[in-house]
This record gives sequence, structure tokens and C-alpha cells, in this order.
Amino acid sequence: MISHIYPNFLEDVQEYKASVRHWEELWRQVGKCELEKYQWTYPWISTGSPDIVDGNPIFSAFSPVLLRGIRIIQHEPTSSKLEIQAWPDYVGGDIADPASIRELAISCALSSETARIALDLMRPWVAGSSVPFGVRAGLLVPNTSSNSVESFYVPLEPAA
Amino acid sequence: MEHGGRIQAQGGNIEESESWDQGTPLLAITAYEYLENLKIKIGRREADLRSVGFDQAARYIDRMHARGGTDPAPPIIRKSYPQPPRPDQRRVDIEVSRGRAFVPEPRRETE
Repeated sequence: MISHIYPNFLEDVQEYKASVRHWEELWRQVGKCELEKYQWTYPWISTGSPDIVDGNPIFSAFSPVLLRGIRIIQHEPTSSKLEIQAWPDYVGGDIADPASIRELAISCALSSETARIALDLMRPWVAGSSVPFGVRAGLLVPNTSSNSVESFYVPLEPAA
Repeated sequence: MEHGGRIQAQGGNIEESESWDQGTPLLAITAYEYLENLKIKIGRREADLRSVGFDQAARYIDRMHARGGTDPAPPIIRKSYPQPPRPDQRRVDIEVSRGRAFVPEPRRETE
């Protein structure tokens, strides 16, 4: 069973602000060296207006050096299970456009578990590496045999 | 051009889009047409599977339309629907990469 953090963030403005701070604090754990080296800045993407506080996205960052972005979408939990998805995407064009920005998108209900998974995904991404991962025994774990971002879904209970 | 973006249907081995690149902000009514065009492009079955995503995307456009469109000079706007996402990642994405979008139709001059 997952203990979700700020589950009412869409109804409670204080929870929403706390969620934003939570992601910003997580971002600082990604690695100061890489953030400076690749000139990562945040926020990058707008919800459309400052008064649109829908968590879509709740955090985003961009590196003009790598032409890479990160977009975190937070949604309300729908169950007591781990809820997280990630997928690769392109901004401003498609895969054939050299000017397009490669994006790592993560959508989750916030919990300490999903925050850890998100951090594990973001760390290689901000350093210019691929995002290796795999699902083993219901847990998302680094998978060094993979060399590309793949979409995944983890509807499983965390392993005991 | 000053105003650009796209609305996409992605996931489920589908990638279709309706894009704009123009000198004037995208009208909300045109964005609704793009959503309908996308449904036709991907077919009824795939559109039905994305029905919540299409509905949420339309509601976002409604909301922007009601407030006069997206802000004049925001950074990039990216939205993915539905939220929470589908397990199979079938989704509808909105991207406003330049300028403004989802603005109301200009009022016609009356005598």
C-alpha cells in the first residue's frame, strides 16, 4: 500500500504549493554538477496561465545545451497502488526535426516511491544519457542493458 | 510565424496531429475543429478509447477561451490528457510552442 503525498493538491492550494516545492527539492537532488554543466533551468513549460493550477505540468526543466526537457505531471491518486508512467516525446517538432527538444515526460500520483522512481529517471536524463529502466518484481529498477527511453506503466504493488 | 503549435493523438501505435503556424492567434473554434479532425484521422475506435482525453482537452480549450486565450507571452504550453493517464498511454497532447492560442473570435463591427 502506497502512502500518497498531498493527495488533495488540486483542491487545496497549500497542498499544491507544497507539491511544487516537493518537486523543486527533488530536482535539487538530481545533481548540481550536471545541472550547471548543461545549463538546466526551470520552470520551462507553462500550464497556460499562472491561475491554471492543474498539475499538468507541476514541474518542468530545460537544457539548451542538450536540447532536452523534463515535464512532470502530477495527478490525484486513484488507488492505494503505485501510480506512475513515463514516456519520451518531442517538443516543437518530431523526431526528424533537429531543432526539436527531446522530452522525458513523467506522470504520477506523488508518493515517496514515485518520487524516487522519478529521480532515478531524471538523473541520467539531465546528464545527457539514456534512461535505462526495467520492471522487476513490481519495482522499477535501473536496467543497464537498456539504452533507450521506453514507455512503461507500473500498476503493481511494490514488492514486499 | 508568430503563433504556432499542434494538437496530437499519441500512444497505441498512433501519432497524428493537427498543427498551426500563422500570423494570428489560434481561435478556440479552430482548436475544436482540430480535435474533431483528429478523431476522424485516427478512426472511431481509437477516438472512443481517447474519449476522456478528448473531453479533457476540450475543457482546457474552453477554460482558455473563457479567459480570452492563453497568456500573451508565456513559455511553451504542454498538456497531456487524460489525467490520470490511461495504462496503455493513449492520449491527446496540446502544445502551444509560440504566441497565443484558444482566443475568442473577434467581435464583428456592427452599425
